[in-house]
Amino acid sequence: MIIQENLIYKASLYLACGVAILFVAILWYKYQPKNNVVIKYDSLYILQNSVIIDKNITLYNNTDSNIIAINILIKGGSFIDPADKIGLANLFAKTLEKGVGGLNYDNFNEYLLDNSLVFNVSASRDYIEINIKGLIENQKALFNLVNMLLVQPNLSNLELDLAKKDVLSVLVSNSNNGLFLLSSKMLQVLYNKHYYPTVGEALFVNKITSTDLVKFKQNIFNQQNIYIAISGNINEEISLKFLQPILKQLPYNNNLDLQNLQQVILPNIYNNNINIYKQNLQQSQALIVFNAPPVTNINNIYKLHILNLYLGGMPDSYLFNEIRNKKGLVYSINSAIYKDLHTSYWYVYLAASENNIDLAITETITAITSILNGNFTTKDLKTAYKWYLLNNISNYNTNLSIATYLNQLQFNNITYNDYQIINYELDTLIKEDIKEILNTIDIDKFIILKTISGK
Amino acid sequence: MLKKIILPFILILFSNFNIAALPNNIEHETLKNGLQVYYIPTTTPSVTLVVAYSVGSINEESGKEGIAHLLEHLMFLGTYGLSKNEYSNRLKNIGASYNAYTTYDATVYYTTLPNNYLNELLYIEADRMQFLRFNSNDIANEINIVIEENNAHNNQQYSTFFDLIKQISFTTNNYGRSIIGYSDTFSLISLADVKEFYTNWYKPSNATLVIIGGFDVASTKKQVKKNFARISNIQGHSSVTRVFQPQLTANININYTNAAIKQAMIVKSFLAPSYMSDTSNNKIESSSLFLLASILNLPTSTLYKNLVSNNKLANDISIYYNFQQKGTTNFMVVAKPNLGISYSTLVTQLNTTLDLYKNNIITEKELKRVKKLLLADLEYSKENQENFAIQLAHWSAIGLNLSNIFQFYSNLDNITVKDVNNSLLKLINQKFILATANAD
Repeated sequence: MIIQENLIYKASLYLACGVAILFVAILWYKYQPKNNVVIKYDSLYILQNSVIIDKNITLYNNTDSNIIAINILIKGGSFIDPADKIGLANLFAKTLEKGVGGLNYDNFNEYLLDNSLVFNVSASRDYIEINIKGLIENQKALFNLVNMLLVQPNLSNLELDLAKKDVLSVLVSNSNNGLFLLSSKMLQVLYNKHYYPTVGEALFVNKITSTDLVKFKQNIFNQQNIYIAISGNINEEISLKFLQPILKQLPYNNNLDLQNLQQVILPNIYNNNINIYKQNLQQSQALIVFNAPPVTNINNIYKLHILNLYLGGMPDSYLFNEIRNKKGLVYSINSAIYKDLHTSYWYVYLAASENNIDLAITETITAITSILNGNFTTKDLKTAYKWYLLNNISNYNTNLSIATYLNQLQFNNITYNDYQIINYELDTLIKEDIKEILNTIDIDKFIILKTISGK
Repeated sequence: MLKKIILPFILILFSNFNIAALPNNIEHETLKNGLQVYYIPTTTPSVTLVVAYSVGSINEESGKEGIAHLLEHLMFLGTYGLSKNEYSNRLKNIGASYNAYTTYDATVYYTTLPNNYLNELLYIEADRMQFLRFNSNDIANEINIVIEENNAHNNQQYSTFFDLIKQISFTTNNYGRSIIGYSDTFSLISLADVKEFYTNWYKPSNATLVIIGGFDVASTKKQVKKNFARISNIQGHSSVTRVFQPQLTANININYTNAAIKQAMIVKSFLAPSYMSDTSNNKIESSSLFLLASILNLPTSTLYKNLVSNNKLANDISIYYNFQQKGTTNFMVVAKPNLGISYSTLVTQLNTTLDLYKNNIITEKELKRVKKLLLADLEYSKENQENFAIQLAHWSAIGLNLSNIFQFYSNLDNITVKDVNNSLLKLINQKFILATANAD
């Protein structure tokens, strides 16, 4: 009996322990982050479900929405500004906002408001960009606006005058904007010629005439040059019904051969210059600029982008932790890869008080050098990639952001197959892949641009 | 006592303004501990969780300015259950984007992430509502960062200019003081101060949760209860319900110069009731001012045409009316003179135009247009779930519930041209601040 009781006792004890261990295991499992994610509606899904309905026209039919959004890119931005007309592309874009289709500024505004259309035009180095969104019930007015913009822009002195005032005001305001100044100066370093900022310079903007605008339009407004993406509750048939007649009114191509102007500039930072600029501001700002893979190698740029996220491109990044959280030296610090049709570079931006800026720069360079020398793991890359992938789900919730994303891919000639390959490469990315890219960049070559107070 | 309201059928009652433009499946409940929760399910694969606390710089003691904002920073440093690294790694691993802001009346935390991870986020938010951990070193470090943030704020051309206008407008409450705080007084904030502030204000009865996105309401409600229902309210303060500022007794002129300013600016500022502080029948005054601000802001308004497009005196003109503030607020007319235009010319034209408005020149057409635009804006805002959720949480934090919000939109439809003209007349007949900003 005693033996049996002992056995029963031991069995009960073991059973109790087993249950306790099981209980703890369940609790532990329950509170672990779940890694199995079925991703729908991410960037790949959107691309897969979009349709090329005509040359350079992509449609994502979003039947859940009652909004239509259009993104239009017209190749030819400030990179074709003549040397004596810096700011032409930007002024052209702003003039379009002041009246089209024969409507003066007041009537044009009434047209937009009465049809609840949201609209803006801007210029970058590479293109003129038009964004329009409207409710489905106003789709006719929306496409009529597209027609007025592409086929019937006013570009008269009335609109030009209003646009000039806007641009000159921006130039005045930006003259004390540290980041604007640094970005402009960076262009001077990176481009041997044509380093002008897109917004231009007051001296040249004042001299631009209505004839210049008309000529600019003639140079770039043609069917070959225009890229359109639509996202919203609209189907292929209706989209084409509106767009094809508009585009047919434009010439097929034009005299300006943009291909010849698109010279790829290989990375050219070769020294450690420090460039200092004086501004009347309480806080100093700095850019630390490295070379990046050439624009012809988009796959490598995407790969480097993942490392960049880890370094300074995502919330609570390495630099954010090291320089801001641990040392309290800065309020802002982040990094990004810049790319346009011609060149690319990699930069870190930071802002700190003038007392701290030099120390902040030194510490940042130490931190960056450590990473670029290989002080990161494949796991870090996987974390950054996962964040990138999952964050994409949140990024494409509005029709305009979807249209913009699709058009950027279209403009840069990235097909669905290309994107699949890129995603595969990112998904299988390991440390050695990045190290290979870093070797081609030469991490010891960078420039520093910094603002300090003073006149 | 659990309170659950399902509101879609109420929308049928409001036909004219078409409040069905608001998401029509918002559910609301109040937990036993007072936590307000809003559920807005949609079809998207992401979800946004907003936690808004009814506390801001309005609740700070003199000499402790900036403590609400400092605590906002500290909320990201981990808890007794999750160290700082664990906290940030968890958020990174689930692809979360997150941020927060502090205003006079509320402190708002928002996170957007794929909907698979909502439950984990609910756990994290409940954890930091009750078990935040920080020490003196953390405070010292964050103060350094806040000082840099203050520098960044002062770097903006007009920030200190607007701070000054507020300082002069609001003499009887904290709306005139800096939300970020002052470098002179940061050193006066102790660890005990921050802990006390956290304990007093960060509790369920002072908080609102808004969840919007692709999630299952029934199972999420269970998770919300599981994580938040057990949090008790430690006795502390209740948020102020009324913030009042008496009208100016004289006009005030301010000439402000700062080397950071490159583009001159003129501001004519009046004190006005916010929606919350409005004591008029059916909140008619603030609702009218809201529509008035919207009308004047359009490029089709007489104000814009007289100053910008036709006479080209100003490069831009804007109206700022923060009607969501808990207490008395500013109604500001802001203009930037074109190069070569003197202040006096612009101010003269501004005053002349405002005098024109005394003759009831706002038209039915303008009012109708603006109401239609507001509806369109509501449709567009539904696309941006994060913004929508933040707005709703913020309204709740200042004391408005969903019925109030629906009532607000319903009231707008009843506002007439006469109401708008009357509100404008009352406004511009008051004493004002006229401030000019220029470079040194």
